[in-house]
Amino acid sequence: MNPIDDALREELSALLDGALEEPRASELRARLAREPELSAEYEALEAVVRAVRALPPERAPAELRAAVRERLPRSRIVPMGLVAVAALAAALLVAVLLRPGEEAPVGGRELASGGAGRGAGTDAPKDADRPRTGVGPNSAVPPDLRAPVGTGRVADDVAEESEHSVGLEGKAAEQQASLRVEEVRDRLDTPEARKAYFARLRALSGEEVRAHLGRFDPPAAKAEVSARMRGAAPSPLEAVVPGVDEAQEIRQILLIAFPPPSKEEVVRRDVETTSVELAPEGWGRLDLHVAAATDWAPHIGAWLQTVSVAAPPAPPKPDAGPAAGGGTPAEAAKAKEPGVRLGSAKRTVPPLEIRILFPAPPPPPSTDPSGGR
Amino acid sequence: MERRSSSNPPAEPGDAELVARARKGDRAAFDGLVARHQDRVFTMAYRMLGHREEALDACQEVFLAAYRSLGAFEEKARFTTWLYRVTVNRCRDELRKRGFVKHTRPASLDATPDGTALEPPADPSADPARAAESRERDEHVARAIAALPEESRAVLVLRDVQGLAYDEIAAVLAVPVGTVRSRLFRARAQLRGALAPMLGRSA
Repeated sequence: MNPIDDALREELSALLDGALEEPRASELRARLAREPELSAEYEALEAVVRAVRALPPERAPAELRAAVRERLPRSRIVPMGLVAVAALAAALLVAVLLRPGEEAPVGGRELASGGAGRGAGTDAPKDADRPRTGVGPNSAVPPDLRAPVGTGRVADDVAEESEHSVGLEGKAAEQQASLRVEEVRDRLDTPEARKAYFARLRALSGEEVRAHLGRFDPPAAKAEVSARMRGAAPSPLEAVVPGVDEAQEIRQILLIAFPPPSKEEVVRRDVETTSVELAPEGWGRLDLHVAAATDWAPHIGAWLQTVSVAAPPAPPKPDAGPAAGGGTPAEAAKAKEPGVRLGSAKRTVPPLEIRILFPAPPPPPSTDPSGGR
Repeated sequence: MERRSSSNPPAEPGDAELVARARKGDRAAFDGLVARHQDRVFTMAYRMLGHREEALDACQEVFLAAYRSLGAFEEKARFTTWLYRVTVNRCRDELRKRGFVKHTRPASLDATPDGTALEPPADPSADPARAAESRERDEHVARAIAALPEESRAVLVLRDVQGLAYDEIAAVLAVPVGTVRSRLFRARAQLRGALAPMLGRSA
């Protein structure tokens, strides 16, 4: 007869629930039949379980349902946490649609300013090769973000951006591409507002947008999208939901649900990396949505460090020199390495301002020698 | 032949349908989910927190959080499992606010960890003497549960109060099934000690 230890008692507990695998369950049942001491152990456990299961069922107080119902309107029904979603998506959209020196597309500007109308894209200048100052780390990234605790990737990323960035420049770009979460929240707090917002996104993805995007060579068939968060406490609700079809043009949603922040549990972590198919005819649209319960949307500005888009390098072009590849020969060589980043969004000014930097596209064939410098 | 279908009541929509409708902003659908699940959520919160008022508050927050996070709910998962997870997390937050998370807290039968008494409802249909005896026994058990370490308590409540299977508990708590088994055993073993006077010498 084997001694009764905790391992055996744990098996008895599982046996009691019918959760012990065969043949071990049969072995144990046989022992129970012939070992009184073991049988007493089993009965003692059984008595405990019986006592717990005999507790009367609890009924929720009658006021619970009404209280929840009453509070729902104030809790902002935003399936996908559209406050933060909208802020990031709009910012990314603006950045994707912008070319150097262009005015912000009306749709993106609308969201921030409340204006109406659409479709400024077709009038945008085509000076893709005008001088680019970029918005590198030294000009925009707060010092505390340049050397983050942990991987130090942010600093590396920014270094790449300074060589590859196009699309948004300087202060004007910041103003155009930044959306304060409060502004968006006010606009997307009703189903009607959200419907209008997505309708606007769809409208912006029409021909005029394609005219913009068509000027970009397809860099890759697939890009890796990741969001780096700082200070986001772990949550079992975190999830990546690809292919959400709330709006046809939304290709990717990074869904991050936050628990209430807890100071003692705030940790640094990287989260959410996934892939997105790029349109075969070009860049296409990449709307990156970071979603959170609206109550916590303001915290995202403090947590979000980077949203980056990365992809394998495009096949080298015969006439592509270091300038087209981006910077020094060493950097051009780095750009050929798998997984080189193509751009990123970075928090610059709290509470939620995202700037997106995309790589320089190859210069489009132009018959006008003065069109690019 | 009699056509029975015309007299059948319409089938109640399942959780998945209600969730889908709620995601589109249908508050009535979400209200249906609340009505369907409020008892189990309340029971879970009550057994975890040991206090009716706090459990009620927690339940409200659970449903509001669930409402806001419906987008995070993966349809392949069971809504109930997901809701339990939200509930457990909410209760953990509450317990941490109180500073109750003590993984080695010994069982105490004198009071709940915050010193407040559990208040299980009395059964008015029962004989008064027997009802009092039953209530006393239930209070005893409830206090012993409330004194369990939070991790063990969650597993025990999910299994022996809510009736979830091991794999469901594992899904709720995001732990391996083996962890569920060992935590459940530890909880029962601790309860056994705490309830020994009540259950007799065998316990």
